[in-house]
Amino acid sequence: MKVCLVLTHQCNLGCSYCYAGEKFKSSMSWEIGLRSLRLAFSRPGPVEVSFFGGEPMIAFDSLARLTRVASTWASRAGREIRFSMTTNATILKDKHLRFLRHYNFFVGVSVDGVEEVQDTQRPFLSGRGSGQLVWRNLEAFCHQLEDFRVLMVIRPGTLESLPQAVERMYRMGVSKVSLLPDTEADWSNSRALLTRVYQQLARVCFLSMLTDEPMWISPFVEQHPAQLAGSEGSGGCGFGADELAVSPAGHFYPCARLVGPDRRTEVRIGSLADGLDWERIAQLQLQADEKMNSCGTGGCKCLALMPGDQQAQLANVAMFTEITGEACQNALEMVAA
Amino acid sequence: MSGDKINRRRFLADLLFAGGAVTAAALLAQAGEAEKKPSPSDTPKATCTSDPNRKLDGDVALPSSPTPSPPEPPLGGKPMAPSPMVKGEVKSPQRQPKKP
Ligand code: SF4
Repeated sequence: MKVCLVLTHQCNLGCSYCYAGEKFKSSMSWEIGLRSLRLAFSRPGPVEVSFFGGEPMIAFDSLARLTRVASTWASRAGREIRFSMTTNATILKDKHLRFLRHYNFFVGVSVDGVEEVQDTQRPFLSGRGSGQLVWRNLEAFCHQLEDFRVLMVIRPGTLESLPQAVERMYRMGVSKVSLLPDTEADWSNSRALLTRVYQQLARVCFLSMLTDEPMWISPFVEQHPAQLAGSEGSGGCGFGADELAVSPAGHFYPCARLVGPDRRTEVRIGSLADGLDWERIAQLQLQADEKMNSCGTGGCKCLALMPGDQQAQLANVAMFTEITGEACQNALEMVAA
Repeated sequence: MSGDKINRRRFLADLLFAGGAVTAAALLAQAGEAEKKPSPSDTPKATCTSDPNRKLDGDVALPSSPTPSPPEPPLGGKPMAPSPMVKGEVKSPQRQPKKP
């Protein structure tokens, strides 16, 4: 089972589109952390523990303690365990890298683009840019970690320089990038540019897969025939059934992105105190399926449960699906030509 | 990252990100991988051994196909609520059930 521990609501950045909501000093207690781990071990099969925030590296001490405990439990019980973490790459010392390497963490590093883009999209709370520091730390990740992924939130204003940022990452040694569209943004005037940029990046992805140094760019790589053949279908998530997120206060959500400031009771699916609410899980799944199907899209159900104007967001999702499909088709034809 | 790898990346980046669209054949010829040249009917092979699709929290999967996903199978089994915990207690987890 995969359990995501949202270690803290606190963050040192103030991203313009932050879905984590209001930042406040509330961290997961040791007891809630342990009970969450126990939940991850409560079913047979591989265990996956991930850490999220706010910024989880702010709570590195508890992240490290919980990781050690989970790792000990796994080896005592002969269970397979995987650790992952999503970080904004602003808090990174050698000891952190050594730790992440030791426990073979799969790390998601959030970087939105070149320094100027990063400075505007993801400044520190003080307003100071984070670009220089984050790119320096990204280089450290390249040197120290075998496997990590860069998560890039894309918005109309970041499109123009996106290929430049991806190229720089590739030269640095990054091999996996996920493009995550801000579905709340107004994309109505950016369709042509988006199409051009996606076509270029889909081509780069598919062509690079012919070489010994591939650049796996999501969402294109998932549509590559070699991946489609080996995949089990949907790119969605376990959605409460075999995957859930625990807030610092011990409430359960189907996905870490739905936790926010932990006030949306309508998307909660239980708590450590009361256990899983299966009725609610079934109801939310149904609700999400209906919304996703009505706009002609599949994929991650949590998209249909995000706060804000869902109709507009799902319309954007449908547009991205279409442009991604075209870009992949185009890239495939080019590669086969 | 070794110096060799960085140099290889730089070389490939010049081809992959070139202004005009480089063709697969040109890329392979220049990258010294002519033996991997695909025939028109071939689809390129994945060359990465680790799971390129592994998802992270915050890495929301956009639909990977333009058709709706099939409905989820109904959930089965009893809910397993975590057992109550005494403060400060660190208990090792249940062992995996033995296979018959
Ligand atoms: S780093 Fe994450 S939690 Fe922090 S402000 Fe940005 S999006 Fe929000």
